[in-house]
Amino acid sequence: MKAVAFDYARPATMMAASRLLAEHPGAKVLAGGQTLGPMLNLRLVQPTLLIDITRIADLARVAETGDAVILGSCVTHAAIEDGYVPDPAAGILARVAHGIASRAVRTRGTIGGSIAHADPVADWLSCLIALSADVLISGVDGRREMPLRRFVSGAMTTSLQANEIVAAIRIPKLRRGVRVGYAKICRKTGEFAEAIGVAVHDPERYELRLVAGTGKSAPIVINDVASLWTKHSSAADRPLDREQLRRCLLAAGHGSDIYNLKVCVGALERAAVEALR
Amino acid sequence: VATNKPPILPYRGVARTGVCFALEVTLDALARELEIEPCDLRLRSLVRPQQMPFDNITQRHFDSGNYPQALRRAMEMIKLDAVRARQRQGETDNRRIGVGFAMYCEQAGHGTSVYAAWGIPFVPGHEQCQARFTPDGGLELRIGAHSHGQGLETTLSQVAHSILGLPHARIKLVHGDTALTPYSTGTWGSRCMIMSGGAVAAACDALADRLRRIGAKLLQVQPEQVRLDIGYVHGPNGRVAVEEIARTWYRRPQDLPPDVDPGGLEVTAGYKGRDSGTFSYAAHAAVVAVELDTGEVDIIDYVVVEDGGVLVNPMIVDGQIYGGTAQGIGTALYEEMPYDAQAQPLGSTLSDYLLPGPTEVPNIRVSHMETPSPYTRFGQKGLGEGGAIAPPAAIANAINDALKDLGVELLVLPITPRRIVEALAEAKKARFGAAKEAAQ
Repeated sequence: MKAVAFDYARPATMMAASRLLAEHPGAKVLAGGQTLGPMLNLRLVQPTLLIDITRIADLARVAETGDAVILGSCVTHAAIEDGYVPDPAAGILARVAHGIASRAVRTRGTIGGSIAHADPVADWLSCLIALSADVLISGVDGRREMPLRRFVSGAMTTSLQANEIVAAIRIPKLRRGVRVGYAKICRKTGEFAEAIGVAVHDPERYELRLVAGTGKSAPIVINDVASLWTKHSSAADRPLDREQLRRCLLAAGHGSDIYNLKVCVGALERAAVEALR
Repeated sequence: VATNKPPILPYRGVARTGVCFALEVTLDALARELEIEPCDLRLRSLVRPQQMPFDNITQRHFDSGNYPQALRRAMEMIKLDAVRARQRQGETDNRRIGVGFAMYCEQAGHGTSVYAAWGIPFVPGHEQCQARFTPDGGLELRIGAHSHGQGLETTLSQVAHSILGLPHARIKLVHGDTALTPYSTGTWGSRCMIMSGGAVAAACDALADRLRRIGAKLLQVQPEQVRLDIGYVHGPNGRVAVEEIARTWYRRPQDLPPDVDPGGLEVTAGYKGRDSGTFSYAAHAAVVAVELDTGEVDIIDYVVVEDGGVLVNPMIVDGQIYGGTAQGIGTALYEEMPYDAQAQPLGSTLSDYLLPGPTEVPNIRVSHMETPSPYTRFGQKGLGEGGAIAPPAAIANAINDALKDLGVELLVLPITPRRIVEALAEAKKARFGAAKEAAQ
């Protein structure tokens, strides 16, 4: 199948892009096109206009402040994988990027596109939520920002308004000594995830943050970590109470399918093992 | 019946994968029930080399081979005893390891009477090759079968080289073009090395004779006094290059012998082997690790001991085995075409229909045996499909071996993580149920 006929615009500024988006209710924003391209060809989307944002200089920008790294939304997975952007989180971003699809996809695919699409099987959301990243959003009415965790409200659902574009992601730098664990379980190299587990462990503050990418819903953040510790938590490969972990996932809205639950618990456990090591 | 589900179509090892799976998985189930080593059961059941050629109960005529030796070598290479010892010791992580074997035979190049007896309209007869020298002394081989990755350009050139002694750079293969090549039923049934190879040899034999006769005239000796070797016709007192002979036929016919074959340096010859064909075979062995919580399967070792008769080109045979085995791993663990309740196919793109990639295919260790076929020109056997036949059975046997203490037996392909996790959960439920019953 081929895409429906659509118009194409390549604005040079954010304001122009937002205006086009506001004026054309049937428009879609094109960044790397690695998801949108196949969706167009399968006619899962049938836009009247594609707004190509890859020539907007601001969106390719990378900035570093004292406590955060800000990645423009058109920064590619490959640029992150190759270490061309500052590393806020102990190399975890490069690792996540490396696990995305194939190198060809990573060369074009963008971090902003992935976040705006909010596919629950895709790679970035769980990791960036675990790192407490914020989304910087730009629209005709100006700019706003919000925590990524609140930005993603469900599978492929975000709080992005019709005329808004994801401009950048701000990722706080990890405190010294904080450890990150990451595990993606997928059927084969580069496949979409069956489940993703992310663990961020701050040994000084006795904090452990767990985020699960379930493949079905928005990532699940597990708040009640205290309940997960077992008497045997010193056991290197089983630091957490699995049954409790399963209950936490179910309470947070995870489906009851036994396989999905098992891989999700498995991914979280691997991430925790790495972060607590 | 109206259906939009596709029927079975040409595929590598078509139908044989299923037959091998049924046989070999049953053997392992039987061995588990009898509590004996599955390989011992196989060794007891295999046809012995001294029984060859062997007619089985379905009237298949097995040409040659040493099946027990192939299996024993696979057992050694996979280090069966070491795997069993490791299993007794147990793993330090949440995995179980298992070892599985599978053997198959691959009938190839079987011919006219076999297909005619099946009553199908598709009956292969003689396979032909048209071979001709060009005026500059190059050799052109034309065959009706097609080379689409099998490397016939190389292997058939080797056949011609072995007879005519020409350098490979002077040999060109024209294949599978109905406008240019002899009629053929094509490339299928692992037949090309036997059938096209036989036809190329027959055509080159005829050309060799004509080269000798013209060469003898140019050397002013009798045809019986010359021999053809490495691109020259050699006489008692000198030699003449094949290029020179070709030039004579095309450009200086006045120098030809008066009784020259008017067919010149162009021959069409055919080949037909014994209709029962050849049987190549192999023993595949796999060691897998199964993650009990997530159902992930890691193939940690894979061994193939294959007997393809006389190997024309061992590197190409290795390639066929690697490619076939990768394909079989796809059948075993990844590839599936499910349908929803409305019969919509759910595996219609490669993001839904998973194929193994380079990282899913282990380092396959191959060992060759070369028992010549008594029925083919060079003792060669057909072997292009075999790699794909055994992996589903070998891998399923390995997974079932890993999980046997947990009461799990997986018999549906592909063996996906979901199927493993669900089967383990079922088995656990059954164990609890049995324990409860016993307690009451």
